[in-house]
Amino acid sequence: MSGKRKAKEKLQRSDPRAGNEVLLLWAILGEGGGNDVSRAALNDKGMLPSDDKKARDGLEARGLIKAEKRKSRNEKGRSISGYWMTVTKAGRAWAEENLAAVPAKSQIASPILQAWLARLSIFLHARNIPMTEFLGPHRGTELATKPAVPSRPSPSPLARDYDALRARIRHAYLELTGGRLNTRALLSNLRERLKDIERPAIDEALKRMQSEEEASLYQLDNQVEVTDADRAAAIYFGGEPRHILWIER
Amino acid sequence: MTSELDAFRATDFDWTRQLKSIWRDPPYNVPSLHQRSLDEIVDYFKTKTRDSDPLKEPLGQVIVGPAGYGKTHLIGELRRRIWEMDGWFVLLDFIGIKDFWSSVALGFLNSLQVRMPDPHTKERHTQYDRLVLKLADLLGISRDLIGIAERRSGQPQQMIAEMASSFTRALARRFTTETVTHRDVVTALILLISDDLDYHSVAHGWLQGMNFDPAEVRPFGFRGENSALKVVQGLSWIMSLVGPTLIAIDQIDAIVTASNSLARMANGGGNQEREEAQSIVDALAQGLMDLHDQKSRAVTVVSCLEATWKVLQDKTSVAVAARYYPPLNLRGLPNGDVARGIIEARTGPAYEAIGFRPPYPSWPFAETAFQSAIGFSPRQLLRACEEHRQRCVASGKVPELKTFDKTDGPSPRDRHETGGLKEIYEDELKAATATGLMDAEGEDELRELLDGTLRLLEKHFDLPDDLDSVVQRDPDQNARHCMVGCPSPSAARETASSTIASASSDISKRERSSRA
Repeated sequence: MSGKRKAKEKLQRSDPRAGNEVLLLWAILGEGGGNDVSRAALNDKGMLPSDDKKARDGLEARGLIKAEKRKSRNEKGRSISGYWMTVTKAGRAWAEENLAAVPAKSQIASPILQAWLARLSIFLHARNIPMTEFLGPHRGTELATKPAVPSRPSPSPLARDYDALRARIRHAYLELTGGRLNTRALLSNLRERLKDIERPAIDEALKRMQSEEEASLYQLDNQVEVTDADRAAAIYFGGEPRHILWIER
Repeated sequence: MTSELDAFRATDFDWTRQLKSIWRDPPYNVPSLHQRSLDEIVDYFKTKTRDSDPLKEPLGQVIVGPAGYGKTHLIGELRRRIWEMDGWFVLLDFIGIKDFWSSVALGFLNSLQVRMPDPHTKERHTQYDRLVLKLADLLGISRDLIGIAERRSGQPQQMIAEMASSFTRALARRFTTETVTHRDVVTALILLISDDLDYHSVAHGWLQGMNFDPAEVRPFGFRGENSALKVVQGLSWIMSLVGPTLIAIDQIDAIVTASNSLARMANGGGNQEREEAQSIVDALAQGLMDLHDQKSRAVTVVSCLEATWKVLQDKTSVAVAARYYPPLNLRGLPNGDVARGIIEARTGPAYEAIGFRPPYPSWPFAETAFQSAIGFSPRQLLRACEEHRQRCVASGKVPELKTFDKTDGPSPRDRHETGGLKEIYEDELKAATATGLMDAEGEDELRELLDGTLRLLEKHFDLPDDLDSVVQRDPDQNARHCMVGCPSPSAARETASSTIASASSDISKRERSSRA
């Protein structure tokens, strides 16, 4: 523990902007997980610290992240260039040591926390880890000796794919709902976030989530609300469309 | 011998459920459908209302699901389970809501007058009779009441007045403060037993929250001011003394949907209609929150469309989370077994009644068909079965149905061609002229327009399947009045006709001002 505190103090002493640097590091990890993240994406989600250039340069100088300028196309097809960042091995090691280092009083701390909690939720569900195992036992009761959800038999390659898909779907859903379960997300918005996966695979995974009773697919009740995008994104059951995904647990 | 066709023709796949049907046990019950939500709510109800004077009123429960997922069915099941455990069941009906608390008071009064089977003797008594008997038992005044009845035989007015004061005195001995607050409601409750029409009708009016001339009702034993809210508080407290209450609220969707459509239509126009529509929804939302603070030893269960709950949540200024749990959602059919259970509950009794022995209980729906119905709503499954039945009746043959899956894509009625609609609308709008419409010569044209608009409006409302609606001119009014109505009782009728009423009055107003 003292090592962790020392590392944090050292970082803060060595650089007065450490608060912003720490925030940026956690934002990249929260948003990207294992992947590169664009500055624009962080900005869109309200996860970019003020004076992010200095924070970025600082982190890069210490070898905690790598940043590079890349060209890409925006929605309108225009070529734009912007920074893409990735956390280095050293950065990950630092983060692991300083898990509680996010400055809590910053305005961007809550979007960052939300991104992390969404990841945590997906992780716990994917591994069938009950919350008690993570938080510690509730006072006065015994530690749960087995997972709350019965564990599945060892996964076949197909099931492994399903688990990955399911995790992606849950992540996208939680992003759309601001981290909340038991509320609606439109399939049209969900598909936007899962563009890289073929539609039949997503549909199969959604149907399986429904049959395993963790999610429901609903029709939008009010015909007036249904847009062309909703119609295009619908899954059909016996000729009836479903436009909404509702994950309950 | 019954032919296959005759047997299958005799089956019934009707999927509609009217609100009042929740008071009767359904002929078809599939326990596994919604068992989770049902058990969850009943367990919660049991635990949270065990104490006759809980420190904190339990939070309400919300059940959401699209149309056809069995919300009303679930409320009926709840009612059955609550009665089984000797609790009170109150159904609130907000049809044509004008004032929230009046509707609640009326819901209490109507529910108390529903007959329930005695858990022990199976005889049917109204909830109200049981309430008065249990209360007399609790207060230990049953013998006194019999004495009064014997002594005052042939003097109904004196008898009932004495009984009422016997109740209030006994209550005051045990619950002084509450009795002072609720004594008029106790009086009204006892007066309602009376065979004397005057007593009965005053009591009935009082329990709806009506206000009377004090001089007029003093002889009946009433002492204070009355209001619907006071009645609800009083009834809920009295009921809490002898049992827990489940307060169910179902079928509020039509009110919210209609008001929302209206708000959209009135957008940009004179805003009186919009304000009226909004105020209905606002009152409902706020009322549902306030109910939490006014009830005693009761759990409120709201069942509605998920979109409705969202609207209601947005309307209230108070913390919804402090009064209601996050919604429980109803699921589609999770597996073939549940689907088969629903259908066997229909085919079984029908075949048995006419002595037909099917090859298998769910005949002619094969196992593979039920597998293809996973993810369907219960209503969708029943509708698909009914479609097959009709096809069979038309063709004179009963082929086995192996799948409900029509295609992977949309059925024709869900395929909408909407391309270019906007352009057509813009063009039509440019071409349209309103000149002369408000003149006497334009009356016929205006009438046609109004009829046409109402037919569109009728399509606009998301009415439940069991409702038919009509557009008709009002024969008692001038030519510019017509209405959308539903022949069977429904919130939609009230809401739609009040919508139209205000729309036509608005037209009349404009007409008057243009003439002036």
